[in-house]
Amino acid sequence: MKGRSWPALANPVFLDLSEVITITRDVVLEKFDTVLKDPYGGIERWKGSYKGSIGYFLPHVPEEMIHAAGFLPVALLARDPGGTSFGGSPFIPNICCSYMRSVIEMVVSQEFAKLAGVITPIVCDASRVLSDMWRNESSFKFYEVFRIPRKVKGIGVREYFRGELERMRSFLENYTGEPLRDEDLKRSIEIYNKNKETLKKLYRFQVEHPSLLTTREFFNIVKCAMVMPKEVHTMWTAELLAVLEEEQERIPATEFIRLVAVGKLWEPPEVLDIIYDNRAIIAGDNFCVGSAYIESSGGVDGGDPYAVLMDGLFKQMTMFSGYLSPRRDKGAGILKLIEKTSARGAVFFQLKFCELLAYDYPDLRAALEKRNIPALAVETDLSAVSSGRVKTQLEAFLEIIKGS
Amino acid sequence: MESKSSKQNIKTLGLLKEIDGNYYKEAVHARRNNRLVGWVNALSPVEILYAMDIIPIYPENHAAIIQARKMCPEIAGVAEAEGYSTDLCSYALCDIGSAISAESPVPGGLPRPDFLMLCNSQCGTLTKWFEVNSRRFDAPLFLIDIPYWGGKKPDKNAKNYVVRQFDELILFLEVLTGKSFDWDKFKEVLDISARTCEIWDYIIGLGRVVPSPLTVFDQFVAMSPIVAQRGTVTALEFYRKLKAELDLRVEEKVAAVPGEKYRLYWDNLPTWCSMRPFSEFLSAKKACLNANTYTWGWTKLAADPQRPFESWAETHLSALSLFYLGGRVKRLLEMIEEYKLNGFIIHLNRSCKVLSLDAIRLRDEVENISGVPGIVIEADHGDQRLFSESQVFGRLEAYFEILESKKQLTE
Ligand code: SF4
Ligand code: SF4
Repeated sequence: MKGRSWPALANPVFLDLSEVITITRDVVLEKFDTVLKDPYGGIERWKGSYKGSIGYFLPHVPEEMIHAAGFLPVALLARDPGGTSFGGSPFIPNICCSYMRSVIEMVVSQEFAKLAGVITPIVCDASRVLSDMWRNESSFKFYEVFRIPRKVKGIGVREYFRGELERMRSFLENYTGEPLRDEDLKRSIEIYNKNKETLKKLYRFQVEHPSLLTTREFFNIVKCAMVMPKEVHTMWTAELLAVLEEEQERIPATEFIRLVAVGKLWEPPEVLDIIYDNRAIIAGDNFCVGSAYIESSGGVDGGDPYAVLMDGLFKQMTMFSGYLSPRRDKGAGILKLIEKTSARGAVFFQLKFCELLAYDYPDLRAALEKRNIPALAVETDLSAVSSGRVKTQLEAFLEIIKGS
Repeated sequence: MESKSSKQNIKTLGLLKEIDGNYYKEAVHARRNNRLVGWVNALSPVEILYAMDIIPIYPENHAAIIQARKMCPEIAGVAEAEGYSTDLCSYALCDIGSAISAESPVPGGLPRPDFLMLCNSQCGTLTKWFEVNSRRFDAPLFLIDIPYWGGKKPDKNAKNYVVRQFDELILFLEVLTGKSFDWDKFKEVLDISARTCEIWDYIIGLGRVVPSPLTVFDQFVAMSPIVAQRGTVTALEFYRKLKAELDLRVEEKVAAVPGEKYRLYWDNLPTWCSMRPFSEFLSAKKACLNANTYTWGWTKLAADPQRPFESWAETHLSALSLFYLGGRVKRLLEMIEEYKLNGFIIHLNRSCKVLSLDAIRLRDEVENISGVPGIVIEADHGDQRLFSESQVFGRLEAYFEILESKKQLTE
């Protein structure tokens, strides 16, 4: 693979430039991997550039505002089960989704000890109950609940949302003792926009050239964006893109079946591998650690930064299932995505005990059936070793598509 | 006067058959009488609908009837066959299954909704569930969104948001009905509602008396009018009669559980599909469930007629915060004293995540602080397929041994 060298960095804290490294696809991916291997333990590697790190439960938190206050916002991601099961915390019943159980278990085992604080958005009943339990279990000086509106339209919704963002701003200001200026917020929004735009480019590239980057590799890169400085992440992603673009000439194109994926989380990652190993890729999705995140960018310049934050979060919210959505267009979003991505089928990632998609699924499936679009729901569970059943289901499903 | 030794049923509860029957009859004939039907949730401000002569229908109530008749497996099964997961709230599964299959224990089934109204202080599940209904019946859904503040004091912004949604709700209903909102009638309804909630609060509080004149099972049976007909004279009259009978029982020291030996708290919804076995099991142990927080919720739902929307906003934003871990622990500790409790049973209800995810924590914290033993039992409020009665009773047997040895130590 032809080599490239690192571009000059604005902030030397982020990287050790003592040696010029020859850049290959694997070298860049290795850097993302290193971050993901120990996202919270290794958080101090970014220390010099931030006042500290503030964790947040997925999804829907104004990361840009946390960033503008001088902190590194980091998503609290479920532990990668790495092929093993976990029992969860002894005091969280198993009827709780495995995402929450995993994160709470990590709290109890002090895996987030290096964070300065945590913000919990209330997105479902589990996050509502656990927001109180978390308060008891953790010892953070900084702990706040972000109370997003649960509907997108209606009298007073935007005013309320603005007020809630302002409350969060005061909270951060009180904590740091410094004002959070609009210019800082705009700057942060721009940094985040740039990152998300770069990720969108990478996504498009990955879908066009799946033999150069696997689905799991792509989604891991998105995941990484949520636990490390955007400035560095954008640079690494741009580098990867540049390397891959050079590679595309040499690697012969391979046919992959395109699918659309629906769900909150794509983990356990083995599910993505099963899809990819069967010559299929996810060409569109609404994952929180996926498109619902990277599509939520936009605007600013001379604009109102609060309006930008609200629009971005509203966009995330409507992509994800947890909010009041207009009654007539159920299925419209997924059909549009299928058309846009030329997908031949849809896979629903139904996280066990996550109720949100579970209520939408039958109507979404019916909308697909009406158009003769094949759909499959797989039940996922982060706390259990991914079963052979999911593999069998997916393989059979893809065979049907191939034969159609 | 000595406490009576054989069980005497509460006669007023016998009136419910007619009261509930009439309510559903009226609902079934709503269209014939040119009345609109709104499907609402248990904590909705139903007084607004009564002021507009709209008939409120409670899918939760209907689902509870399905479950009490043990029809859940059959009706929820219809929803599951359509792709709805068994892990969802069994109320929702029964309701959706009933809508698909037109199976209902109510003669004529539920009338179709002209609209749906929902207040999400209760849980988030309802929004998703009501959305399904809204699509199925092509009826608009009005969500009163209540930001969750747990035990913290809500800010002004949240309060304004909630108040403005009540204003919007009135506009929404005015457009739907083509009628102006009758504020005078609303005040009358609010007044009746306030008096009814007050009596309900008094009735629940009678669990403090030794021996208790009523059980929590009686409260579960008695609660349908306070939920569905709050603000009507029918409900007010029913609770007046119930209060009079219970006052007499107190005077005559009539125990709901003759020979009352243990006084226990119940947390979460009842097991509608298995009320009688639970009640009989506990009676045989001379255990009276004399305290709970679930039925307490409806004591708080009356609004101040002078500032109804503000007071409702305050209630939903904060008073109902009893349903957060810290509030639940605090209230249970108070109740141990007030209701002279020997123990507490926490129902970890597979259906209801919002009231169950902190069950183990609640038991541990209350037990540690008070020294009073508690037990967590895993069941479901309506789906008998999801738990085994014999296993639950086996665990309760062991729990009663602990209660007994504790009692012997302290006596
Ligand atoms: S995975 Fe589902 S249930 Fe779990 S926290 Fe997220 S939205 Fe809630
Ligand atoms: S039982 Fe629980 S989850 Fe079901 S509707 Fe009632 S509050 Fe919501």
